[in-house]
Amino acid sequence: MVEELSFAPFSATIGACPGDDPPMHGLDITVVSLYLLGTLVLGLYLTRRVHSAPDFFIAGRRLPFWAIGMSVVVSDIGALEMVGGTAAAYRYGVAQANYEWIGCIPAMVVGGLLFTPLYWRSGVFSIPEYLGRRYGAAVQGIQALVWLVFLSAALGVFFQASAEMLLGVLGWPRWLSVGLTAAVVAVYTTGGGLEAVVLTDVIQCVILFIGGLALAAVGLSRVGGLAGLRAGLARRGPATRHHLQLLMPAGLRDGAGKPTGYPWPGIILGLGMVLSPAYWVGNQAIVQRTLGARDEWSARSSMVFGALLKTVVPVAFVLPGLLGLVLLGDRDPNGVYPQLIGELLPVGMRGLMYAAFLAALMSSVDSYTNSAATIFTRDIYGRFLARDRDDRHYLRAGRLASLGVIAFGVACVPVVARYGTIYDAFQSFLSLFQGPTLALILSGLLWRRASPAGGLAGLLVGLAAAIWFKAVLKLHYLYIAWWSFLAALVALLLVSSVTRSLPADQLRGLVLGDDGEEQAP
Amino acid sequence: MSFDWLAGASVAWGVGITVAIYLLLLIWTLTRPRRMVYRGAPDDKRWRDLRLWVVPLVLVQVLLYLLLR
Repeated sequence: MVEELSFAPFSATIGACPGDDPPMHGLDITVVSLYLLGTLVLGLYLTRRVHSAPDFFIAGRRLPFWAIGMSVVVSDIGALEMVGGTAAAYRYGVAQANYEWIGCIPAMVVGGLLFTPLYWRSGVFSIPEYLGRRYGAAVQGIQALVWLVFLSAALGVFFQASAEMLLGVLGWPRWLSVGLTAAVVAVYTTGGGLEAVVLTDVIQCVILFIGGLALAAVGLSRVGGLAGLRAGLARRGPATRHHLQLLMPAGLRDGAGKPTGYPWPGIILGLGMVLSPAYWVGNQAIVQRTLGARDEWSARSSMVFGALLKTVVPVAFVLPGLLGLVLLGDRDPNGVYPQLIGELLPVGMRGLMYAAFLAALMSSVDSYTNSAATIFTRDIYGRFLARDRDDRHYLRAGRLASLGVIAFGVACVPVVARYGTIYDAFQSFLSLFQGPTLALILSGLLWRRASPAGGLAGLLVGLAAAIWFKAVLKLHYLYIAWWSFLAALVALLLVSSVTRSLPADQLRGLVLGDDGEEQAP
Repeated sequence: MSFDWLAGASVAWGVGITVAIYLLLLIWTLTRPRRMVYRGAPDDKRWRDLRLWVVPLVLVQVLLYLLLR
């Protein structure tokens, strides 16, 4: 989920797979074309159901729980994660699954049962909007700008990285990958809004799971089952001694002497306690889907259903990394997944996997587009630039914002291609906000005394601390999340204790306990 | 601040803490009031009881963290 992935030029390694078959067979092309056509037709059909801003931004509150659950899971699996996650499992082993298990499941269950229903009942369209109601316009404006910049720029990174990858996997030129994806996503996202995003995500989720699980099943059969996999890893000697360990020793370093990204204190404290809750409770792209649920129970159950699906994800996208180590031997980790597809799957199934790559890309692009458009329209345009306009005005603004965000993402592609490390910069930029944002959300939801001044102080102090931890102390990002969360929390508590909190009537529906369901501590 | 002082701590501690987190999650979920779990549901069929969804979810996780250590 929130891991930092390296942004290497995939085509350079994937394209060099020796002995690969021609990238696309006729049957494969048919499968990919059917997928794209089906997505487009469904998206266009759903356009007819959008008549108002709530229809566009929160799907008219008619989404079923299973669709939301599948959508949040598939949006979390990008094309980069398919290749990068498998590559990480190839290098470090099953510990990569922590990002799907301890790094998702507890936060999804608690978030789903406790926090999501409160968001749903409050009627907000976005997380910055909730924070704005709780802590005031300054916090809303800062949060909205941060998310808008990140989501929009990340689209450029998705386009570029996936174009690199599809060049290597399918042999498609970059302009075709970027143009095709942008055009298809623009049609159904701009027309159908959140409902189109979620329901096309359902198709994408089915394709991703069928493809990923088929690859794992065939690979497992090829190595002789779990016993064969264990024996195959053991044959590779001490380098793989931790490959079947979910939690790794705290001081473990990789070959270059850098931390592996899986020290167990960091996994539990940074990932499990801060980054994961921040992602599942505070990420606009995730929370927005649950706001579109048809009833409160559906909002609640969607996250728990998603957590059940998360249990299976590592089988499809982590296990292949281990299988690749046994079946392919030493090679560039980024080439493992594509080469497994080429070597293990028959024609037709390969087409399904290629469709899965596109599905993974499109599910991320449509989510980020819709979320960025919502934040722009609701938290910046509607809050600061054009207040109190009619519903149709904001619907039109949302559609134009979606187009603008996609155009901005496409325009970013040459920049990202030229300065590859820009993704790392944006990822780091967002990671600085995760801890402080979680502190604000949790305090806002759980503590009535959390005041607007306390919220702003918590955000600024937490952010300053995070910058210091990164720039001066050079901490691992898992630890930055943990310590910046604590710094923000302390500042928020101290300032709130000496400043005035919101009056009771303004807190109604924003704090746990105000709906007579759970009492705040 | 990088928890280097834990470098010598056994991974078994990490496994224990993780399992404890999951078990606390299970206990917390099972103690949620019924009206809260069903709130907003169109009917009160048994399969809508989300507490029952969490039981297999947590048990599978505990099993995985105990086996893969």
